[in-house]
This record gives sequence, C-alpha cells and structure tokens, in this order.
Amino acid sequence: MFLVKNFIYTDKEIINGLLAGKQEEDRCLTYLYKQNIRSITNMIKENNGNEDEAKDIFQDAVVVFYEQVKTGKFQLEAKISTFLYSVAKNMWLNKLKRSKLEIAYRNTQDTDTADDVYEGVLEKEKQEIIHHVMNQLKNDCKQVLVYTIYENKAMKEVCDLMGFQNEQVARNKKSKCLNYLKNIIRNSSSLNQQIQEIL
Amino acid sequence: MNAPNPSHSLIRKWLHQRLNTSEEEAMKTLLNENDQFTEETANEVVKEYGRIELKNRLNKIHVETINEPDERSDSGWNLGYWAIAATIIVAVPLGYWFFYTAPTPEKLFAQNFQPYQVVNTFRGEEQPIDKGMDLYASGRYAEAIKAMENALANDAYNLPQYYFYLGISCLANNNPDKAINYLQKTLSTDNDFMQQANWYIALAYLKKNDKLQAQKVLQEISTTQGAFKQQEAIAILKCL
Repeated sequence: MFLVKNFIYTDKEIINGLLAGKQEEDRCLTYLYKQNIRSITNMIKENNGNEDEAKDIFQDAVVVFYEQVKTGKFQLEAKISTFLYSVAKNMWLNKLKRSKLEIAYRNTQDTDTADDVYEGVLEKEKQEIIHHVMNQLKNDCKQVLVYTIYENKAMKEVCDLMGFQNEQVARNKKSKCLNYLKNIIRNSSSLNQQIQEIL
Repeated sequence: MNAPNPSHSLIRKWLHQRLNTSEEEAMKTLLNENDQFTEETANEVVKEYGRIELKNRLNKIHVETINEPDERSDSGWNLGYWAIAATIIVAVPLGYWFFYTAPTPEKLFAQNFQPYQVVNTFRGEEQPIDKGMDLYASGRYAEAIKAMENALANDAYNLPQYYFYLGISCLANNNPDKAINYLQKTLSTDNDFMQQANWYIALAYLKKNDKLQAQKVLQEISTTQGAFKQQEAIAILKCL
C-alpha cells in the first residue's frame, strides 16, 4: 500500500475518473462524497429531515449521477455539486410530498399503516431477492454482467479488466452468464416461493 | 411523454414484491414464453444489483467521512481565525518596518515563499507521479522536478495539479523562469489550483526581480474578492 495524495479534482477529472479503472473511480467517489455530503445534509436537516434521511437521499443522488456518467448521459453544463444538490433537493421534496399525502390518507382512513417501516421492509426484501438471484452466479459472471449492463463498459474495456483474450471471448462470456441468469429468474419467478426460500 | 411500459411496471412490481395473484401468473407466463421479457427482467436485476453494490461502497466512504475530523468544524475555523489574528499582529508592525526599510523584491520573495502543502489521505497503488510528489513533500525539490518531469511525459498525468507542484519545486530550486512556465500551464485549463498558481507566479516574478510583472499579478490577486493570499498580495504591493 502506498500513499496517494489528496488532490483537488476538477469536475472533468471526476467524470474521467469515474470512467477509468476501479482505483481511480474509488478516489473520485470519495472526493465527490466528501465535497458534497455536508451541504446536502444541511439542506435536508433545514427541511425537516435527519442525518440518516440525508445520507440516503445524498447516496441516491450520487447513484443517479454515477449512472448518468456511465451511460454517457451526463453533460457538463452545470457543476457536479449543483447537479447533486438539485437532484437531492427534488428527491427530498418528492419524499416530503409523498409523506404528506400519506398522512392525509391515514387521517381519512383512521388507521396507521406505518408506511415508512413498510417501505423499509420492502427495500430490504428487494435487496434480498436480488442477492438471492445474483448469488447463484459465479463471481466472474456477476462481474461481467455488472460491467456490461450496469456500468455500460465497452467489450474492449471488459477484456482489459477481466483478462479475456479478445472481445469475442468477452461477448460469449456475457451471453452465457445472461442465459444462466435468465434461467435462475425463470425458476424462481414465484414470489411466495422466493420469500419462503429466503426467510 | 412516453406511456409507462407495462412489462417494465410488472418487473418493478416483481422486484418490490407487489404482484397480485393475476399479475404473478402473467409474470410466470411471460418469463416462460417471452425471451425478450426475461432478458429485460435479467437486465433490471443486474442494474439493481449494481446499485446495491455502489451503495455499499458509498456506505464505506460515509463511515470514513464521518470518522474524519470536520475541516470546517468550529475548532477548524477558530484555528483559522487565530491564524488570521496572528498574521495581523505580525503583519502590522512588519508593514510599518517595511515602510521605512523598503525591502527588495528578492527579500519579499524570501519572506513570503512557502511551498504549498500536500495532504496525505488516500491510499492505493503507487503511480509514477507519486514518487515525485513524495520527493516534493520531503523537500527534495531537485529530485522531485526530475521525477515529475519524467512522469509528465506520460499523458495520463498531464493534469494541472501536477504542473502546479512542479512549478513550485522549480521555484524552490531557484529556477523562477521554469517555475513560471509550469505554473502558467496550471492556468491553461479551469481547475482548483488557479488562484494558488497565480500567487506563486507573482512570487516567481519577485524572485526574478521583475517588479513590473510581479505588480501586475499581485494587483490581480489583490482585487479578486476572497483570492488566495489576497491580504499578503496587498501588503507586498504596498512595499513595491
């Protein structure tokens, strides 16, 4: 392990870093996180939120930014910090709006459905289902699918990262892994069956 | 606006376990009979998995972040205020003294030059440029210049911040001309080192005894609201 300096990254460097290898991507994500978490936490706390809610919203905004960069949809027309702030603000306002509607609904129904807790449980169960399905794949299969489908990497890059001989080998691997995954999904399509298996 | 895709809505409901009995049947049938639908579902599963993994990485960063001292916390700012107060206490009598002794540009350089600090926080695999930065951090400027110039021959390190540290290394190594050349490269693209680079360019002109150019750059710093070393620039201008 070697010391690497805490440089200041420009917006362009952050985007290039996210499109580079994992090590540079980690550095850029860490830099982005540290530079923006406080302003967004303050905004959410000033608008009836708490630290945990701020963390969740901020991370969701980072995910949106990350996906836009990976899919080439992010245009550097505004500063990244402005983009994150505005995405987080919209997400938080929508959440506030939803919770107000839910309160109004609960008041008319005269019941407490504890929707926040329910939402949290659903999120956790979704994660369990995803892991249940994905964990039936070998690690290299998971990796090739994440690189090509989630991170939108070109086959050439996948070859370099995973050490495949050529792009055709990478393409074949992806196709084989996708077929495995499709079979796993077909065999576990019953929701109740999945829950029973997991719980 | 596009209408929501019914297949997509079914997949999302499946992921969130919100399918009713008839939708569950429809899902099963589609998965068995429609390969495109199954592929869409698989893609959605991979994307959700990617998001979960990314969130796990962000959570790790979050833990690191909250465990680090807040640079902008009260104590940090207090330190800053103390530093400003100390500077004023020292600068006022010094200014008075300067007024009567009129220091030379070279002297002003010596009084104001301090290499820009490098903060070590990240860990990872060593890159060729890191060797130069390590040498810079340990004050071995001649070796740092050599190492950085070699690393900069590789386009991957062709970044403004490296030219910035290279410029300061040249300045520390008594080569103001080369320093100005590298520091000006820092200014060629928009980056976070531009104000700092301007300050060191001004110092380099002082070192060269080029009063006119130094005044020009210092004037720019002194009139830029909140610029790096703005107060120092104003103080130096009064002496020139």
